[in-house]
Order: sequence, then C-alpha cells, then structure tokens
Amino acid sequence: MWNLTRRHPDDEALIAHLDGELESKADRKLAAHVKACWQCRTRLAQIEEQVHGLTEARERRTFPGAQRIEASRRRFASRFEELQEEIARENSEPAPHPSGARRRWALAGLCTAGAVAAIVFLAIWLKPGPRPTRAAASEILAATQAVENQLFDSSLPVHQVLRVEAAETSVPFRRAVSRLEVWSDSSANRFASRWDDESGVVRCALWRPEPGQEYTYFRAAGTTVHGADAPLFLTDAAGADLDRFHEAFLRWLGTNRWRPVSLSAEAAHFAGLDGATLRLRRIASGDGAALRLTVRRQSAQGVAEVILEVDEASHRPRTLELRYQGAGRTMWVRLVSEKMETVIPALLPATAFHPNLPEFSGALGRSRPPRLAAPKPPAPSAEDLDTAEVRVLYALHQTGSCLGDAVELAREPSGIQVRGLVATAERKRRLLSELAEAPYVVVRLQSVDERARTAASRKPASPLEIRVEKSAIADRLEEVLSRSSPENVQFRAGEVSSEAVSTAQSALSEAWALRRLAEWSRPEITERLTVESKRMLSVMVRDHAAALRKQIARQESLLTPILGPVTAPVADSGGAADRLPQEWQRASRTVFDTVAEIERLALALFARAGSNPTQTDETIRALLAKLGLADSQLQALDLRLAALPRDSGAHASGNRPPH
Amino acid sequence: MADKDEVETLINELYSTWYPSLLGYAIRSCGNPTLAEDLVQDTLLSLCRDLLKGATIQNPKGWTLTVLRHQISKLLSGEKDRGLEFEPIGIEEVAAAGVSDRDPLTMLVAADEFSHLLSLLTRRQEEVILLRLEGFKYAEIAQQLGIHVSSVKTLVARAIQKLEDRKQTERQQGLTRCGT
Repeated sequence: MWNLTRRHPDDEALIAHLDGELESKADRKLAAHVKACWQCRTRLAQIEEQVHGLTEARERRTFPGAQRIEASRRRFASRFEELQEEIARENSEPAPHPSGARRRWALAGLCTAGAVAAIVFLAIWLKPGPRPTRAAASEILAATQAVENQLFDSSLPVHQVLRVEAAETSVPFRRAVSRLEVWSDSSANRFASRWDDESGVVRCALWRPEPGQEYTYFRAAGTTVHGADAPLFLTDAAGADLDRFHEAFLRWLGTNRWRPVSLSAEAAHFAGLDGATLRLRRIASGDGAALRLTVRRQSAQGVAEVILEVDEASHRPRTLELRYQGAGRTMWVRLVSEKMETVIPALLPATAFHPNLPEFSGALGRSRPPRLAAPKPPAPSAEDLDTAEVRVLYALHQTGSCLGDAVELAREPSGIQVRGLVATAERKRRLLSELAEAPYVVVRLQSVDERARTAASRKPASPLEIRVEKSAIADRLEEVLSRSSPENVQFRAGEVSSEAVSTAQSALSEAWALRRLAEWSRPEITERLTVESKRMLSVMVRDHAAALRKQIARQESLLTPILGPVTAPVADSGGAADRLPQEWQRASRTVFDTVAEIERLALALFARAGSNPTQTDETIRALLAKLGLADSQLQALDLRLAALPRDSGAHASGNRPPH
Repeated sequence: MADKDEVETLINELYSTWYPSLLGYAIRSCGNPTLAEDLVQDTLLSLCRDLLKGATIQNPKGWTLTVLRHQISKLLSGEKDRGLEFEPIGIEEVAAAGVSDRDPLTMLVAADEFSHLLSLLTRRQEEVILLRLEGFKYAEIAQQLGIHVSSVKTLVARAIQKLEDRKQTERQQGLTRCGT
C-alpha cells in the first residue's frame, strides 16, 4: 500500500484511491496525505493523464468500424435463428420418464424408430438423382483440379489475373499487394506472365512468343532461378516473413514457368506433405456459397495453413490463402483469382506473348536458350543515378526522414549510397522496404536505438543536465494572459512558449527540407529527369511549401493576439515578397533565411533568459515582422511553384505522414 | 428464462459496445483475424444458448470475455483444434457463419490507437483494463476472472505503468530526433 519508507503511497494505492476502491479509513488517510504532499499530487495527475489517454483513445477507436460490426451482426443473426430452431427441436423431444420400466420401453421404441429412420435415409441416399451436399475434402480438391486442368488443356488461350496480397500481421503491420497476369496458349506452346508491384512496376516477367524463343526479366539485378517446380509456399513456419515470401514467389514464378497458375495444384502439393490434415467447410460469401478447404500442418516451429476457397456450384477456385503462425510472428499470403477465362484468338491482344517492357527492348528479337538468366545490369548512366536519387529522396520524404534525420546520400559511379541515422527502427524498416527494389541504391542505415546500443557498449552515457530558467518574455506573457483569465497563468504561459518554440523548429525543419531540394534541383539535373521523377520532385516541394505555410500561419495565429498588445503594431512588410527571385530554387533559399531568422528570434524570446526590456520589445517587433514577411514570401513562392508539374494522383501528397 | 427478444436486445447492445473490444482482444491473443471473428461469434452464440436455456448471467461482458479467453487458451494449447464449431472432415452447414471478408482485420487493429495501447499489455492486464473501462468494480472483475481483488489492483497499476513507460519512450525519441 505504502512504499518501503512508508512516506508515500504506492501507485496501486493511488489508483485504487482514484477508482474509489480503498476502504474508507485508508482512503481518508491517503486523501489527507495527498492534500499535503506535492509529490503524490503530481503522481496522481500523471496517473490520471494515462487513464485519460486510454479512455480518449477508446472514444476515438476506429476498429473494427461500423460496417464490419454490421456485417458480423448480420452473420450472427442468421446463426442465432439456427440456434433457436435447434433449441426448439430439443424442447419438442419428449422428456425421459423417471420410471425404469417405461424408460426401457422408450429406449426400445427409440431403437425401432432409429432403425426405420436409417432404412428411409438409406433409401433416399441410394436413390438415383442429385446427392446431398456431402463430400470428403479430398474429393472437392480433386474436382477443383479437374476443373482447372480442363480449362488449361483447352485449345483456346487462357487469361488469368491474380491479386497477390501478403502481410505480416504482427505489430507493426506490413502489407504488400501486387498483381500477376498470365497468358497461356497451350496449343501453340506460347506463354507470358508478368508480376507487377502495387505501383505498377514490373518485378518479374516471362515471355515465350513461340517455341524455342524465351525471354525473362527480373527487376532485382542478380536474380537467378535454378531447379524446377519450387513450391510457392514455404513449408516451415519459422522465420516466415514478407521478404522471404517475395523471394519464394520469384523462385516459383521462375521455376513454374510456361504454364498457368493452378491454385488447386498448390493446395494439393501442400496437402501431400507429411502431417497435413484436410478440413472442409461450407461458407457464405457475397459471391454465393463457397467451400473452404483447409490444409493444416503443425510443426515445432508453428502452424501453417493453406486455405483454398472454391465456388460450390462450379468448383472453380476463388482464392488460395496461406497463413503462417510461428512464435511471435504471423503472416498470410492470399492469391485472389480475379480472372480465369479462355479467350477467343481473334480477341487476343497482339502483344500478349511478346516482350513489351522498355527495360527489355534491347533484348527483343534475340532467341535465348530455355534457361533462366537475369539480364546483366548495365552501369548506371547519369539519368539512372538521377532517377535513383529522386526515388531515395521521395522515400525519405514519405517516411518523414527528410525532416531532421542525419541521413546522407552519396552519389557514386555504381549507384546511390544512403547512409546515416534514422529516428526509429520502424522508420528504418520502412525505408529499407521502400528502397528494396530500387535499382542502383545501396542502403546502410542505423536507427537511434541501434546506435545507442553500440555507443552504450563502448562508454557509459554521461548524465543529461537540464537547467530551467525563466524566459525573456515570461513575465510579460503572464501579464497579458492574466488579462483574459487569472487562472493557471504560469502554466498557460509555459504552454504558449513551448508551442511557439516547437512550431518555429518544425517550420525550420520544413524550410531545411525545401532548401535541400532546391539546392539539389539544379537545371542541368532537372532537365534530364524522367517525367515520373519530375513529378515526385514536384510533390515533395509542394508538400514542404504547404507544411511550411501551415506552420507559419500557426505561429502567427498563436503569437499575434498575445504579443500584439505587448508591443506597438509592426510595419507592413508588403512589397518585400515582390523582391523574391523568380526561380523557385532561389526563392526557397530566401524563404529559408526568413524562417531561420524566425526560429532564432523565437528561441531568443521564449527559450532564453533575458532581462533587458527594450531588447525584448525589439525582438518581439522583429519576430512579428518576420512572420508577416514569411507569409507574403510563401504566397509568392506558391506562384513560382505553379510552373512545376502537377501531381496526377500516383503520388498524392496526402500519402505523406504528418511530421 | 430469457425470451428471444430479451436475448436479441442484449446481443445488439453487446455488438454496439463490447464487440470491438472482444474482437481486438481475440486478434491480439490468437493472431489470426479470421479465426478471431469465428471465436467471438461462437462465444456470443454460447451466451445466447445459455440464456435461452434458462441460465442467469449477471455480467454478460465479463462472461463473454472469460469464455473467449478459455476458447483461445484451448486453441493455443492444442487441446481442441479450431474451437467449438469445427468438424474434422465433411461439410459443415454453417451458412451464415461465413468469414469471407477480404479486408485484413489486423491492418485495422494496427491503425487503431486504442488497440495499439492494449497491445502493450499482457493478456491479463488487457482483460482487467477492458472490464475496468466498462465501469466494473475491482471485486466484480476479480470474481469474473477468478482472481483475487489485490491481483486486480496490481494488474491495473502495472498496466498504467506500462502505458506511462511507452509515453516516456516516445518523448525521449522525440527529444533525440530534435537533437540529430
């Protein structure tokens, strides 16, 4: 209840006190103590803050969403009706009589009735006609394979489109969606497949326009595929993750080439492994009744399940799903069959079986032996390096790393080196994931935690020294705030100061990011950028300009009402914006200077001690004037940015996380 | 004995107020969203069955949480494969029990702040906090979970401490970021 020195109550007691769970005597004693003890009052407030945070988070809860609750409720309603019927049936059965003799008679009667029912059931069962929907799981699997084989052996070309979803479901959540398209013409021995990632970039493609002429393309340089018939799904759950799945998927695409994707064959392969068990369920779905076949395999490393869903009527496969559940990690992969149909040759696209990627144009027309090989990556040109660098900049932008992480980009003849320190392990993971497929990019990053661990192993950390002093403007701020309300003036003044400093620093981070982009965007580089890279650059610049405008407006709306009364009105800064250079790059530099000055002034006012009132007045005037100037300059900068290419939606600025 | 309308009203109320907590808890405990949905529905169905058969359940929220916990424990310990409603081989006629949603629930869990906070806690701490948030007294929580009242106090305090530690870590990371 009280800590060892018996001077203060422990957290359990304080929480129980807040929850009204202490006995009255103990509660009175604790209340009296808290009344007199600042330390315990502070602790109580801290506990309250946590409780408040939790209840607020619950109020804002978005999981699982009204739509999903409603869907579940509907499904439940149907099950509830079945339950009622079941209970009604149970209730309608005659209750057993307590007398032993009668019970024996009842039992004999029941046996007779059972025998009659069995005969009737057998008669119905053996009667020719449609059998009741009862079949073993293996029969359904065989029927699905037969349906697929029939389609694939057709004399007409087959077109398949599959959505490939893969996710690691442990927190933090990682998910990747990609698309696999297959054209297969078994009668003419032609084939083509193409695997695109979420943004439409081809990761792997195979073509056989005619027998003996085969082409392969792997985006990741150095990919080689050997052997035949690699299984799509890894058979061990241990260590299963998205990266390993993508490797396995590439291998599978490479070794299972030249034939369409058979979902049932993959499930059958898994079902044939030692220790696999099969199960079948009938499920309802929006597309009509379906059968769900689950193959389960358990090992010391975890559980792996392959789930095949097929249409109940036609036995056509709809989805194939794999779930791994190992120690501390769960992931699933789902192949959703979006299209599986034969195509009339007249309607076949002319380029369906021909290499049609720009990256592959150099090899077009050359016959290759039917052995898979990755094209040798050529040395990057200056344009390639520019594109790679923009991609890295964009990844840094998307992850928020451009606003203060100590990350350095080194341009070398072989590619772009990304090295340095990022704030969190999660950010590092996201960057690695974003840049995993980027050509000519080598990433060597450390998170702050990793660096701290390394540093800690070398030498002990020196204690942090914090000095608290009253800021230059504290007294005057309190005086102004007390005019509106005399309550908590000190606390409110502290809050205003803290917000003013943090807003100024955020604005400076944005201004730095804008300046770096401006310095990078030299005309000789921007001229040779691809359209896509130009668009990415434009998105980044606009994002930073917009964020900067927001921060300056926030600072103005915070400080003008408070500092306005403290000092005389500032002179109008109109006209200064007209002197902004015409090129957005140079204009950004001017804006940066203004924002840097704002940050310097804000720190001088709110974060440093000072005693000279005249000097403080001047600083306030200068700060307000600079804020007005920054506002005008940013409006003018907007006009300069209008010349940059507009985003078409592929890189919506809304994708950028709030920093 | 509760009649059909009473049970339906109770289920509607549970769906509105308690279902998200149960589902989130199940997903965090078993790691499989599809299975979690099945288990929560099975639990609610068990509640209905007991009520319709005349059982008196004072605290349906606590009752469902306890039953769900037992189902998940059974599942995880491998005592019974796949919960209550699964049959080894053959087609099971559960037309309405389909779990054919395509949206990954886990993504929703990961995006939800409340779920994230709860994921920092142990299963027991989460149970206690969920029930406390529903306004149950320590004694009621203790009775429902079959533990002592003092254990409830300790679990609540440790949960709060964990949330606080996480907040402090975030603040420190923020400070480090400014410093780089």
